[in-house]
Amino acid sequence: MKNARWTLALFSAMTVLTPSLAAQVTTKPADYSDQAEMSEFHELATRVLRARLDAGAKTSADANMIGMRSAGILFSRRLDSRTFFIQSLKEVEGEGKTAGYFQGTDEALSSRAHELLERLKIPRGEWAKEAVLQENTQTGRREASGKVTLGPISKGRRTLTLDRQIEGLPVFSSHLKLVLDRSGDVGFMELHWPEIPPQVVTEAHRLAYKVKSGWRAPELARAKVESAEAGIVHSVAPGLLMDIYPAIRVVYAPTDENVGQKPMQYFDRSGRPVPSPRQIDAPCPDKQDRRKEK
Amino acid sequence: MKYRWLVGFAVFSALCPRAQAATPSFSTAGVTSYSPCGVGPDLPFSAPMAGSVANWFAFVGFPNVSRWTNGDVWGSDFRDGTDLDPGGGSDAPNIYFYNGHGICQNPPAATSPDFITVCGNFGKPDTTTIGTSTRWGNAGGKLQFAIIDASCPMDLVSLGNQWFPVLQGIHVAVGHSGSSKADTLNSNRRGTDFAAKVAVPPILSWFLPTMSVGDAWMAAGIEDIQSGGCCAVAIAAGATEADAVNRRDNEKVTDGRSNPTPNWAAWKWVCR
Repeated sequence: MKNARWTLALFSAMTVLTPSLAAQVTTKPADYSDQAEMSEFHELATRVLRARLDAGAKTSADANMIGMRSAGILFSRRLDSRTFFIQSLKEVEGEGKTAGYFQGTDEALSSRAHELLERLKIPRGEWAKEAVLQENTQTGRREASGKVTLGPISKGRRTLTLDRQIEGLPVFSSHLKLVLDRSGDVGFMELHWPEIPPQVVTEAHRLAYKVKSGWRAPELARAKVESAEAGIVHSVAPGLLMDIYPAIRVVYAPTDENVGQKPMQYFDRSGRPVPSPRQIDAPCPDKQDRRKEK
Repeated sequence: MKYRWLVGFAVFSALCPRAQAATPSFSTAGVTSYSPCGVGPDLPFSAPMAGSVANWFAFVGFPNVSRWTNGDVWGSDFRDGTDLDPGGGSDAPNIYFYNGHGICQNPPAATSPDFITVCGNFGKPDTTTIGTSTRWGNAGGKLQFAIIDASCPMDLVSLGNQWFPVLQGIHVAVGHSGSSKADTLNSNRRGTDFAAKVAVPPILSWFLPTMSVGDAWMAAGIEDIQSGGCCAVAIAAGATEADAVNRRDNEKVTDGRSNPTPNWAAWKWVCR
């Protein structure tokens, strides 16, 4: 128990330390003024978007975010994590979809993704599995008789996803998601690639060693272990907090194959669940108790 | 005469309902504990995830109707006739988020039913056949957006048969199609990531645009699902084909659109 508390305290401390550790691997600005920050962000946006910003470009910073809106594009990033968002505001309003989808090859989509990663200085050694996911669409009409007539299946937009690994360890929660619009510009991008403290990576290696050396996942009734893999888990992209934990991810398969949704859990070296990475620190509504007999 | 401007404004407002952002109500339900019912396995993240989604929507400012976990989520909450219960029915709020088990066929056929399975203290039976028992948006039902994070309740092969009857005024529903070989994983991020994409708190709204329900699910619904055929699915209803497609692609939870006449359905999916 004492050991568990110590482990929890250690990684809570790592979470708190993350921004300062991150600062060691990013270039420190020479000027900490708001004006310099905005100017630096403009330069980054220009480099990443491959476009000159229009005269009406607006930049703003609040909470843990800084962002810029220009020529129908929103480019923003978290200030406490290497997390970037690009969104076509036309796409958000539906105008982009009516104009059609990116018609280029998967290779062209991949090439654009790699270019963005490089411009955002994402280490190439951390790029892992890449996939292009094809969206499909269909419609159906319900006749007065109740009969349903289905239309043909059409191809919609494609999303490129790219996973992350560090020194061979998967970072389960990091990713790039990229959608291009018809003209090949970025319609949607979410790059969530937070800096990981070296101590977390070291502990993840130890966990991987344990898995290879016969570590046994806690049992779960009515399920069997399908896979166990050591890696790193952290908070989601949109949010106000960034928690990071080394963990062994265990996926269980229900023994009854008809039961859908496979249990998953993240464990520490002792087989205890690690805390779920938080998104916000909002007060929980009062706990309710539903007492109503039927 | 002096009230003419007031009447004009009222007419303008009535004709332009989309001009005003709506504040939808929401409910959440998450079932982690299936052991008391002798089914399962338990799903560690379901109840916490439902709680986190509730916290996020509350943080955004949406009013909460109910937020139940484990035995307080009842099978009757999903069945027509009892789903209007303001104490927990799925047709009582505008947004309903469910995280728990579904039941899959391996593989499903066009006639295979879709199920939601809970482990309730009351409101038995625990399993609801969606296609025959669930009706959303009818008889005063308020549900506009159903988020069913439960594995197989939206099997693509049976979508036309199983989901058309359900669409009785509801705008958009999202879920997954899969099998025991390619299933959803009980995720500790999929729900909150989705919630943050469809509802952005004022403090972040300048930096993170609010996405449509369909697009947000195509982005977040693919997280923690297995490759080889598990798919994130979004379906919308409409009076015309164009209306259904527009809602599928563009409708946001804050649009405040009126209920569709469900002559048509439009759906989209993306698979790992």
